[in-house]
Amino acid sequence: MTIINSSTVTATIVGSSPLIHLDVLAAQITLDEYRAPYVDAQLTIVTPSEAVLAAIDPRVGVRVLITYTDDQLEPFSSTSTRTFDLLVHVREYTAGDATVRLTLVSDEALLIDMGYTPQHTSAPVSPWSLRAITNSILGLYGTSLQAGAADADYTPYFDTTNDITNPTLETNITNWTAQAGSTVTRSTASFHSGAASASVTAAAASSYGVVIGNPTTRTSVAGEWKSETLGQRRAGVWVRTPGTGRTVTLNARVYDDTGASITLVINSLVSSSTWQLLEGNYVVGSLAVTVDIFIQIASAAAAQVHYFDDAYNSQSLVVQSYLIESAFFTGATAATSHYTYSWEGVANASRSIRTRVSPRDPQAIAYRVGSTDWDYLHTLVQAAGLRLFCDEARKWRLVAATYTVTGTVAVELGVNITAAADTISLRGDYYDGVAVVYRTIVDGTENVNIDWATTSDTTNLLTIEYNTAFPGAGAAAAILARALGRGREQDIRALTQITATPGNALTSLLPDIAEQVGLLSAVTFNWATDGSDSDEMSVRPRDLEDA
Amino acid sequence: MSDISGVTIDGTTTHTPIIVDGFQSSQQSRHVIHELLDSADDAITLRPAASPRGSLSALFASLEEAEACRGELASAAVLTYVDTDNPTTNMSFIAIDTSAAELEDESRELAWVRFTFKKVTP
Repeated sequence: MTIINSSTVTATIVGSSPLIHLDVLAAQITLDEYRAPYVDAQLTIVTPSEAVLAAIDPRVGVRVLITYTDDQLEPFSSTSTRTFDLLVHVREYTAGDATVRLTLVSDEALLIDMGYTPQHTSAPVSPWSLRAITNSILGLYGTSLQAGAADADYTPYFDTTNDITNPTLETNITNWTAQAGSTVTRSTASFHSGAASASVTAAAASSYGVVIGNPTTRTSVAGEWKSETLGQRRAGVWVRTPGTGRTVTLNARVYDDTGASITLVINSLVSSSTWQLLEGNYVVGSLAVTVDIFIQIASAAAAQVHYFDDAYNSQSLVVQSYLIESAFFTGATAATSHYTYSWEGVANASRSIRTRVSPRDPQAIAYRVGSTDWDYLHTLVQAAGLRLFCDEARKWRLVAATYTVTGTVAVELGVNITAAADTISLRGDYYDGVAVVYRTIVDGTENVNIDWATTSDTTNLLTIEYNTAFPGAGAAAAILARALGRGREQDIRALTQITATPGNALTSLLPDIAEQVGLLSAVTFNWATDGSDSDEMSVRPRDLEDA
Repeated sequence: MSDISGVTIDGTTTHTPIIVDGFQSSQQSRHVIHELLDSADDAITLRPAASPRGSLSALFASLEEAEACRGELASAAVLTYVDTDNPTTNMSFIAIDTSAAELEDESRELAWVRFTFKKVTP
């Protein structure tokens, strides 16, 4: 039975009042999962009035709503309507012409066009998930991601040191020095971790304290306990007292090269019989050469004991204007999936070193000056092996490479195919090896990281370069997985199925070729008031396999 | 010579040809035929046809009258065609392509205006 349909395409300017209708002569709408913007449409319209023509200005963010209605009349009666809410990107008009051409795109164009602007004053904030980072950018455009599970952890894990050389007092009391009439001894009577702590006892009813550091070396300035890292730092210590609670204050004493010092109050708490963590941030300026940690206990009774354990004093990380705080660790801390720990020298008598496991640069989440919002997100999304796109209904999605859309597109010889080509080629978009090169220059030194993925016998290598901090490996494998699915290309023209969406299942039955099953990768809907290719679609499958 | 055609062509002024010859109109289909591979049965997309177009020749009593009519055809305006003898041909139209005025060979007095039109719905 003859297949019969009729169809219309209409277009209106979104938000116009009264609503402005454009007379559509031809439309070509492409949805392509591998392209940003995901939706790209060409619209040919009758030249409108001068006022309307002036209003269609891509610079002011004009949007057009295209409505495609397909009435299937035979053999089955049904009506399908699909709307495309798109941004006008190009308006072409030649004086005297009866038609105007519009190029319309989905909302990725907003991020692609938008360079670094003053509204981006800080890096995205925690939680450091890709969804949160993406939403922080999309929020600038008044939108957010659709719900979904695809995500990646971009917590900025960073190398740092705990500069306190005897942080847990496991072997001796070295570098813990009594102040203002107190005595300090190593105690195993109470401890927060391990088997010992520092017991600080007041000689009389007064304020007293303890310095964690080495005053002798400090005053000579050339001490081993010199602070090598300036800027944002964090220090802390666990504290408890069996007696009455007292105000305990944590200070950083910062010395310059003349031995002069200033005392920075970091934080304070009232001690109690349970262990409490007293910690906080402080900033060391460029004139500082040493820092020690001075703990004061206010107005204690004579002979009152305070215990201190698990002290740290280390460099935090600043990503853009966002502070990522350091935390307590020692060289004996058990390794995690994110960090390994070691002593710089002798255990419990040297600095502790925390080393990140992932090669990912913690600055990868920093917003780069001069890059666009899209470039920023794309690098992170790609390294996570995910895909970010905005569909024709302005819905943003962050999805895995395995993302599919419910529905099947069946293109079958003798049923709906008007033209078909089947190509197996090593040219074009087919690659079996991918190298992604990330370059940054930090303090005059070029850092180069290469993320690569290959098959065993690489014949076509694709190299992509980014001037950005290394976001971790993953992009190359994701690009390679996509490219391998494109070795066999079928370019098929068939009767339009207006619901066809990349991610749909696709079956194709072509002459002389075994039936193939795969996924729809891209589709182009053609429509025109006249023209032989109207109401036909071009489909590009991927991941084709014999059925 | 008197008007025997019953035809008037109206714009800003009314033009009355003596006779009208060779009136014809046609309409282009815009249905889309999809030639399906490996099938004897084509698929069809139904489309409204293009608006009718056609041509005619009108004989005027003088070249002056003919030129006046041709000038009217060249104006940026929708004209009307009324034929009291054949009302089915009445229409609003615009002249398209080339409109020509030419002296009739035998009389050397009468003049033809030949033009192509496209029907419009004002």
